[in-house]
Amino acid sequence: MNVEKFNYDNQIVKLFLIATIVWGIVGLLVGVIIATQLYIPELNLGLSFTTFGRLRPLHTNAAIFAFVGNAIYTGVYYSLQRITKARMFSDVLSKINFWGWQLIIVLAAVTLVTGITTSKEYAELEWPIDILIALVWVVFGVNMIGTLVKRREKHIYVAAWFYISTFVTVAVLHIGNSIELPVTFLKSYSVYAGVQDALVQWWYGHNAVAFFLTTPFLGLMYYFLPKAANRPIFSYKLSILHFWTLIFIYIWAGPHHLLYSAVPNWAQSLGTVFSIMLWMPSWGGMLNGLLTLRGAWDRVRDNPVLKFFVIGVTAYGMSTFEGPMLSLKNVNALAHFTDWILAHVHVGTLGWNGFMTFGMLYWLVPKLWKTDLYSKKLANVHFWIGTLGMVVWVIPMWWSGITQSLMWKEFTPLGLLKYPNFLETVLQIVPMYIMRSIGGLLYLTGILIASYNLFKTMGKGSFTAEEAAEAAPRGPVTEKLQYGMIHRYLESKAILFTVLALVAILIGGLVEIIPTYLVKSNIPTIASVKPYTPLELEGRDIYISNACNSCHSQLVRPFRSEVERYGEYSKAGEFVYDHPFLWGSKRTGPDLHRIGKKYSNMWHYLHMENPRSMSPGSLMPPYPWLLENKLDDSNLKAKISAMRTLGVPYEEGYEEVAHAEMAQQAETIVNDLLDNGIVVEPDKEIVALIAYLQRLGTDIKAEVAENK
Amino acid sequence: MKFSNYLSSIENVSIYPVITLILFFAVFVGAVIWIFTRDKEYISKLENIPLENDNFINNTENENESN
Ligand code: HEC
Repeated sequence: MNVEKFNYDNQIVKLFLIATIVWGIVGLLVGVIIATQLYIPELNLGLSFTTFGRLRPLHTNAAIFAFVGNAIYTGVYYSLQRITKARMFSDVLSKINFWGWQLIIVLAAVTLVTGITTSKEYAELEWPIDILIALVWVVFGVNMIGTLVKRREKHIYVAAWFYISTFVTVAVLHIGNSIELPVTFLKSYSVYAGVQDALVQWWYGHNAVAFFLTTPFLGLMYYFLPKAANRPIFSYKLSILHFWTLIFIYIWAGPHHLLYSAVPNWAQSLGTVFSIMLWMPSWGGMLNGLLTLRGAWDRVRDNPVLKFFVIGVTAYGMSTFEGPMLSLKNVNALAHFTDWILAHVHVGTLGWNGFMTFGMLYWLVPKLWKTDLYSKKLANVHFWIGTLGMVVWVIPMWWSGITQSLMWKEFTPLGLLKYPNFLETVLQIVPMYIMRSIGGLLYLTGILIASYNLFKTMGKGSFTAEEAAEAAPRGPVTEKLQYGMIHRYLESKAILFTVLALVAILIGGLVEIIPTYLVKSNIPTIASVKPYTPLELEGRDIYISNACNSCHSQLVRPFRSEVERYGEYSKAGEFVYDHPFLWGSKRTGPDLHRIGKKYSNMWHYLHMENPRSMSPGSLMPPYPWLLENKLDDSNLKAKISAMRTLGVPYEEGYEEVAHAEMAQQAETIVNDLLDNGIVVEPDKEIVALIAYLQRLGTDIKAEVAENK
Repeated sequence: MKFSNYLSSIENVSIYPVITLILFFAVFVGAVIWIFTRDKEYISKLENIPLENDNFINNTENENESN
């Protein structure tokens, strides 16, 4: 028999593995810091770089793309070579994939803390980095597909399907959501505006969860769980069924992030229906994982790897049950914008992604370093401390989410809001915030213990970069298509399969997105809604750069309690000039869509300097630098003309008068402040920010007044 | 002016959910048919791929230590 000798590339697996551990520690550490900042605002250190709004995207990006991202690569690069019986397609591509990704992470960290951001959640990076991500991602895809094409194993194991669909979908999502018009090298505006931008963003955001945090990990589960348990997956047939249903249904569910928003009703309903349908394939995957261990529970008890997998898969089951529940309209009305959503997300990330990753690492390191785990006891300690950390994180956040939401909605018998002061509802849940940060600290301790244990294991073993293997070459596909079915044929054609997976997700994406292109022409333009003035536009960019949207929504939902608290509910037509939209997803502070004219300029000035001077006990960080920094308006002209290109009706030549108009508006604000005894120069950032805040949501007030 | 449901002015917008549902159903049925027409041997070959010996040939029995 013809046998080919070759080597598995373990070096690349090792690199990704170490990066996973290092970035895991960084990402979780930042998480603990921002959790603590929420009740000790002093920990913002009075620096723009370390303030909550800047660190929060750093945490999410580090956790998702650095920690989980490197974990995905680790698992894929290890398992794909084994299930295809082939070395990775190209060593050069492997290296570009590794170093390119680490470069992106470093660039992300630097730009995010310096306030260079698009503001779109999990897609905050500016356009040059977006391009880099696309390139590196394609390198990864080519490397995978190349490996599948030159594989020696005749069949493609189900894990590889999950990897391929991950590649294809994330590529489409990333490109689709990042279409932006560059203004300068580090500043761009989303080509979409308002409702449309929101739909595209959550089509992306939701599916990033699906195809970056879910499908690759299901692939890893289908490889590493059988491997560690030393028995095949419970049902291979189920794995196929749940693969196709999962990738097909997921892509539709995005609008459930926008229930009760200004998004069209049919899209909201579609999002809800598909979210509920998602429950089935998700649980198919969970049961398939757990049932693989049927009859082997005694082994689970003393095998840390299996223990981590069991909790990981169970957490997957919990969060995929909770997800559909949260997309029911009445549950969503309660949970949206609250800590409940964070609890939901962290069951998924800490439980499913985190624990699956740790299980994989505890299995891989002894394997690659040809030794036993340094300490099984420490792994067990990690297991318990991590589980406890999760519980202490999640339960207080469920509690605080529900508590706060009920307080927001509570009326007195006389029909007035029981807690008209938003801050009161925040102070109520501070104890929960303290608990949450303790939970995070426990979880972080766990990963520190893990890294000690794993590095010790590496130290006592010996690593082989090139692992020898042999396999028979894959002959031409001799069997006729007698089983008749297309899939079998496809399966021998990796590329065709890729195309088919692409078609499946594109159909979903397009049917959802295309109508939103029609939206623009269909939004009844509200006559009184006008483009931002130059000063307001600059103020808006300061708002974005400081990520005020990480704590403040700009979307009043059509509930009595919200209209009472904030004012008229938000209309689609009000956002037509919002590139990007700034609806936000979490109300740590009150909604700001109707903040315009609610307070005096002086109030805002003092509040930004030190929120607690105006709102005693406030958790909002002070922004003293906004009072000091000179507004950089050097790109104003470029901004105006970029906005015009995107369809905002600034007259031709408006650039020329923009600076003068800006100075004039700034003067008005400065004079008003002066009347109140505050001396400020008109070219400070605070002036622009105040102009923007005072404008927010006021256009429609004029309309309402007119109609009366 | 009424701003909600502004998309209802697109003609036949209700067709989108219907298309979606039909497509999904077709995929689902296709997958089910495929699954139930597989023979045992084929499935067993597939599900054992991860358990095969990664390094040596002619040994589909796994000899992995259970760690
Ligand atoms: C850590 C979360 C957080 C961040 C980040 C944050 N805020 Fe706040 N904000 C709050 C909280 C909590 C309140 C309510 C208490 C208060 O009035 O200070 C608030 C209140 C406000 C209010 C008063 C709203 C009202 O109706 O009374 C304004 C205006 C405001 N913030 C603007 C901003 C701006 C502008 C930024 C960005 C430069 C920002 N906030 C960043 C948490 C935050």
